[in-house]
Amino acid sequence: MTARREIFDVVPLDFNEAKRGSPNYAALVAVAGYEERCVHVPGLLLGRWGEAWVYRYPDEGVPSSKVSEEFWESVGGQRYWIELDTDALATRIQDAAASQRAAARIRGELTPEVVRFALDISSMDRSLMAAVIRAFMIGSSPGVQLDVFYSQGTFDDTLAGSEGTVLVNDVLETFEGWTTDPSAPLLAIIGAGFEGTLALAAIETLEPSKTIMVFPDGIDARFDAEVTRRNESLLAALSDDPRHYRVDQPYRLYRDLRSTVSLSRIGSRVVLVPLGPKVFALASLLVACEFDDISVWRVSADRMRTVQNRTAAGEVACLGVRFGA
Amino acid sequence: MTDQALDGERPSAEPLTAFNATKLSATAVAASFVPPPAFGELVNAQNAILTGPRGSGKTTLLKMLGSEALENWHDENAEEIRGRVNAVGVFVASDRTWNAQLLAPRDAAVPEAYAALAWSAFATHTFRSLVDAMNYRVRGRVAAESCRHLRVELGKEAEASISGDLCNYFGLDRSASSLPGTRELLGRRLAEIGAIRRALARGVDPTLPDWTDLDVLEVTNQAVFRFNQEANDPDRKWALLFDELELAPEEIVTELMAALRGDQPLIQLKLSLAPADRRFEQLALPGRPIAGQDYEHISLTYARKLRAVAFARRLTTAHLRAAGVTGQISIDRILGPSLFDSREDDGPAAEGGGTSGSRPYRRGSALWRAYDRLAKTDPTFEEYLVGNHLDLEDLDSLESNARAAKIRKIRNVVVTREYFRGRTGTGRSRKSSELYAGAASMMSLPDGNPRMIIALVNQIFPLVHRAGSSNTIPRSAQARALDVTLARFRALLQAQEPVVIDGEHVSLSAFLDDLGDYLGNRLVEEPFSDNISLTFVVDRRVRDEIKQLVVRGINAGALVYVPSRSDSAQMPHDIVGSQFRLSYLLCAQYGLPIHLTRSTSLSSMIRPSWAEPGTGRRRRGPLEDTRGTLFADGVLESGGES
Repeated sequence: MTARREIFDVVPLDFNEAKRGSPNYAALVAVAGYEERCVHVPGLLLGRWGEAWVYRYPDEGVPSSKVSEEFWESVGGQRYWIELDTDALATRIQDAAASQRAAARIRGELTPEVVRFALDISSMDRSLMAAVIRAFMIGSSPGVQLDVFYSQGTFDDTLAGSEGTVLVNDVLETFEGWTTDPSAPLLAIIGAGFEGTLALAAIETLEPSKTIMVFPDGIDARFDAEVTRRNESLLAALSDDPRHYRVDQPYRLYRDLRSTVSLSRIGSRVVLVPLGPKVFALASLLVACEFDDISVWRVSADRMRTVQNRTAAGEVACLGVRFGA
Repeated sequence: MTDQALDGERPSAEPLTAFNATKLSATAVAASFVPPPAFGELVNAQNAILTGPRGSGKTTLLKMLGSEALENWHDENAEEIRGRVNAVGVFVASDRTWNAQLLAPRDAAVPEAYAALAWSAFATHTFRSLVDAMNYRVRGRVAAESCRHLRVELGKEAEASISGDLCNYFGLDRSASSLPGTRELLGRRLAEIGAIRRALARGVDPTLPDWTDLDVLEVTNQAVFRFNQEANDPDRKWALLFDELELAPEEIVTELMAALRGDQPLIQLKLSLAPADRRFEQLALPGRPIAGQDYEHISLTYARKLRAVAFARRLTTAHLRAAGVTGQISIDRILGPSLFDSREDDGPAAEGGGTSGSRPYRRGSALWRAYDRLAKTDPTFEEYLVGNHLDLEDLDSLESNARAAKIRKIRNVVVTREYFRGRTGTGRSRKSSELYAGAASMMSLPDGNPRMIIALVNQIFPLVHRAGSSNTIPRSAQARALDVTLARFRALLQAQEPVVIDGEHVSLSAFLDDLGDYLGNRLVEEPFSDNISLTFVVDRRVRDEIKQLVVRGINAGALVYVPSRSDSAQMPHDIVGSQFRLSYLLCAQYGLPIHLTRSTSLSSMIRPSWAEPGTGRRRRGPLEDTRGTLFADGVLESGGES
């Protein structure tokens, strides 16, 4: 799959503008899941999207699942349940963009310059996020813009994170990358999160020549402290300071990660390990779409974790991806 | 992210992988290389399969067969070994990321096209490694004239002629006039393969170019024949050194294994694989290459301590020197005496056994006190002493008679049992790893695994600097160093894929914890015996999923195959019927002696749900299980030597 700089561009986006301004989204891609956070962004954007394409996680039998179920039931006929199928979603994107343009023509309006879609990654797992991003890379035509939203969860000191038995420790499918020099040293860029054990497991599996740990600065100091605590053993092995990013500034994160990868891939093979907040996974996937030689590695113990409800906290962070730029 | 430019010299955060030879240049590998016992065998072998768990030094050994490493190796034996390496080493690097890229997507519409591209990528990478080795022979930097290894002088015309022919053999659509130019074209070929893969993913017509069908070994043989001809060295052999093949696509490994018969006259093959790999099964088929005839199987696993400890001592000394610990380095002085005896497995020749100098059992010594405390708190041990006419007051005088052997034989079990029994002598207490401090035990714990040895030594460096190389590091500090190393080893184990049993995920760590805790409890809570079984034989009653975990444990270095004295070091293709022990590092985790004991069937040690119905240990909890069952059930054989 070719997804290069010349066919997409990433741009900063202000949520208040997206909320107040003119864009009407052809479709919103979101999830119905076990945490209330998954309907926060859809609720804020209610009335601004034509259709909702919703991936439904299995019912975990927790009260919070009901909250999202009720929300999505209430939006009625505009909502379609979708499967984790990249090609089907890509077709859906093509059709939706075409029909929005056709509708504009029928109404005698000028064909819209930009057809916009919205994506809420707040409660998405990394595989689903990868499939959706890939679908947009395949299905988007010039003039399509994807606005991606993320709301951080409230901090709860009982949060277990995704620890325990490592169930997935492999390259993220379709994001395996391709190197032209298999003997070049491997650089791992690891997003830090609550999953300290998983980060260690990734390192032990990948055996990189060099590792860069990237720590999130959240909106709650207790979150930052907990992430640091859970990665203490890795931090102890770092002789210099780890890097940091602001969870509420995804565009800046993307830009900086892209810059680091762009420099590093000269003489190294780069593998991104997106643990921690979803915005790091988003930035990793976008960078990997841009550079064909980058691999994205997935480490997960998700199926072992206790289902925990999280509600949204703070401002919604966002960025835009323009196709055909 | 904060704006920090990448710094190529910045140290990385790898835990156990920090000293992985994959990431080091050949020169860097050579700088710290200490040859293990298997290196000589590998040098002598024409074709070889090199097996060992993670960190056992397979990559290092293969890299050390290359001219660049040999020329930059300055060990006292370097010159002699350099003279014995007659084949040009071609190291073909690999790792998990690269192999993941070679695999076809799960739902690929044209898997055969992906397989062909994987072959082609593998072949192209091999050709490029070959060209690198050729280039080094021609123009690699010479560190010292006296260290030159298989160098040749080629004029520009000769190099251009060879390069042109190589490009032709490799099916390149352009021609280069130099070896570096040929390398560059092969890099472009790899990029082209990537582009075809991406086209395949988009559903584009998968008609593949002819060059995707090249026979890697035949073309390599042709290429080296041409090079030899021009270098006036017609009979020179070239050894293709394939690393990490356990990760490679199945068909590639199958083909390389079949080629061990030696079909290509100028090519030797040295293949590195994990010790437990089902692809070994094909070597048992009729007409396949035969070990000892077509190839040598060289194992980097040490079931017994003698060779492992000797190697650990040499590697530790070398690393302490490299880290700036100067003067006469004595590991025995730095780490002090151990309560464990390292001799019992291997006879009296082992180094560093014993404590308290030449009279370890004298009254009042640390060892004597352990025996004495156990006798006072453990009636079954006291009974054992009485039954064997052993008088603790007179242990020291037993040195020269037969009873001394009895005392020495039970030593490691006694000190561990005594250390981990609770104050009342009835339960198992949680204690630190201090028991395992001391030179003899610290050198035994890594099982001869260089990565583990270096990880442990790395923890000890700062302590040596603080204490001074002539002083002993406190046992508590050694215990902390051991704990850190153990934590990192456990991270590696946690990274292994789990199995699903009755809908539940069971990880390797969970299996090992269960087994280790069971054995630890058995050691301290059962009546004392000089014949305790703390190793196991995999029997047919063990569920297949658990056998898979055993295989993963072997390959990760958590479980060690124990061949009988008469068996070859090569593990049988089927693990059923084979004896294994926990790695000694994990023995420290579970409070077990560093000691090879007899075996019991695995199905009798594990929880019932992990064995076929009607088997498994009979208990609900670890304590209940062990009572009254210890020497009664499922002992298959006496594989240990205690």
